Amino acid sequence: MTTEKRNYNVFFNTHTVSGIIISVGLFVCFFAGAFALFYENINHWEANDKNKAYRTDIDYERVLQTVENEGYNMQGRNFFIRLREGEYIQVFSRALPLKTDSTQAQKPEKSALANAAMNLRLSPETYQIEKPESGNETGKLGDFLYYLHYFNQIPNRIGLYLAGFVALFFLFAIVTGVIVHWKKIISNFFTFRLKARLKNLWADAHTALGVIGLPFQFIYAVSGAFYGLAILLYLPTAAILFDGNREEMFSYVAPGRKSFEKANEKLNKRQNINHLTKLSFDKLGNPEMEYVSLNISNYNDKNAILNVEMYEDTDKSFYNYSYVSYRLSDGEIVAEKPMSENTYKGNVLRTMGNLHFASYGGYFIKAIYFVLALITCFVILSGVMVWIEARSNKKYEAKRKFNTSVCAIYLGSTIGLFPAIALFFCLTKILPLDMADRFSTMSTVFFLFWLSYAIYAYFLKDFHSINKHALLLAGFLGVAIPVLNGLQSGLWFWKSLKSGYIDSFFIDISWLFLGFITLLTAFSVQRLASHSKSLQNKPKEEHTAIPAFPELGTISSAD
Amino acid sequence: MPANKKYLLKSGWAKASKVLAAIPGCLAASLALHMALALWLGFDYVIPTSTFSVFIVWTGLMLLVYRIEKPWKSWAMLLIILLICVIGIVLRKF
Repeated sequence: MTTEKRNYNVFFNTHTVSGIIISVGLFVCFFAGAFALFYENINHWEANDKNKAYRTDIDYERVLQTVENEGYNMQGRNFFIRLREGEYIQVFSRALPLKTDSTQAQKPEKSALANAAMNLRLSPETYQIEKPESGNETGKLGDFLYYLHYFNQIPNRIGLYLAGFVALFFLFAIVTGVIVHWKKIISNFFTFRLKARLKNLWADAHTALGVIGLPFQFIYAVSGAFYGLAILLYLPTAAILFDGNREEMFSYVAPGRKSFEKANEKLNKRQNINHLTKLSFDKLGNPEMEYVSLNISNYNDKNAILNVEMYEDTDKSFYNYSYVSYRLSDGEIVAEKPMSENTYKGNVLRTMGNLHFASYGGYFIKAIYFVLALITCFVILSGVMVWIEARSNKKYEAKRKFNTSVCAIYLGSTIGLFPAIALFFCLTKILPLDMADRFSTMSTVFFLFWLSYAIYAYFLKDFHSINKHALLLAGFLGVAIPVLNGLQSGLWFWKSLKSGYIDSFFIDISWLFLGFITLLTAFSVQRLASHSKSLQNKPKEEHTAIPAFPELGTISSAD
Repeated sequence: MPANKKYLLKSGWAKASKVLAAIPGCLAASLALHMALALWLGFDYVIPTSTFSVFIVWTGLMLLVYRIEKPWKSWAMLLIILLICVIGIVLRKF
């Protein structure tokens, strides 16, 4: 059937093209993302901190007073306040609209600051404003890896949108991959030809592991596309269905964060926010509550609303939040949601978030996610290897040099990320703590190392050595990480667990394990070779019995 | 093993046309479909669902664009979807 042949070839081609275009970006997403699953643990490990118990005794009135003293115009603002990782209080607010139809006289402009957006950090002990969080430079390794996994180092959200498109093309590549593979999906799953041609080995590995990771990859393709490209959905939907009112649209996807109409009248006397927060703890909180965030809509307006969101220990349940909303003028409850009462519209984003961040099953689920992410990295790389091996024949002789260089750069820039990350971990423990520009130096070294590995790979051009050298480097650096941590902080992994430094222990042991496996692999790996030449001398049936994609073989030879 | 070129589009314009149909074209159709559904079936279920289904439908339409041989037929399909959805939106909303 020509249409069948045509469809097969067209989808095969789109699978190849979309896959090759996104390969390096997608590898970075999954590889850095695998580490980013543990970003809080990595942050604690880096700072030699104990896991801080969650505090619920924040003085929110004092937080707001500090912000007001800073010179911000508070009237009618929406605030989002939370304690992050037990370390600092984050106060977030969007810029005020330039013209408000508020009847009360606005003060003459003190500064541009007054109406600007804010993203402040306050110390939970002193309530002083720490240096404002500017984009990526939080100066923490875990955060750095988290930002790297959606290329946030590229400014102005361009990296985020790029990652969104990578995820979208990944979704397309998954679906076309399944279509191309559909007829052989079961039989090929049990096929692994080590002794055939190299192309077949890579193709078998690519398809079998691709099928194993399919549900996981689908989750990430869809949720990644949403996180990266949400703006493509929200802007048009808000403009057409909600007459440009984005807040109203958000009330359908996150009812707890809903905002309310302004009364445009100043509120003279309001309830104490600390008191209302305590009340909501008594009402719906529970002893296992581990995270609280406050949403204040229309601050100092007659219709000001306080929303207190409370999260339970996330390892124990999938939908783990409750909230109470109070009117600030009289303290009356406007809305409430107990932990057990769940609606569809309140939980779609929660589901996506839990699935994406693996925040529903503790270390066990995260470890499974980590392995699946590495498997996905392997699927990406083996796809590139299939691409190059399929072109290592006489037909592509003219392009061989170009193809080999492309593949060498691809391999170098993907597998080179592994030793680069290990190096970053080492650097955090080597460089003196009082060094100037410590973090930016480390990130520059990281990027330079990564770049130079890609260049090294380009000149080396031997795929086996590119991989082996990266694994050797990563293995040695990885094993060195727990040692360097012990030397720097004295938190040797045989001591740290006993004295309660759980994250220090966890990261050390994980790297020790990962480093040893990497070294073992690097030393035991043998150069892969195509067995096609030796097969040519053998009986013919063995040679032609199982071509890589049988249906394509027959189709190509039929015409 | 690479795909047989015999079955692929040869003209650069036709390829560009398909890419345009697949990325902005299918996005527009998918968004219009979700907005129309939201207006006719109610916001409570369709708006939250659209956070993930917009991207799944977008990809599904991309597959159709490539499944259909001629670029103009792909565009015709997208325009028909858009037209029906826009009529649906206008009838309910304005």
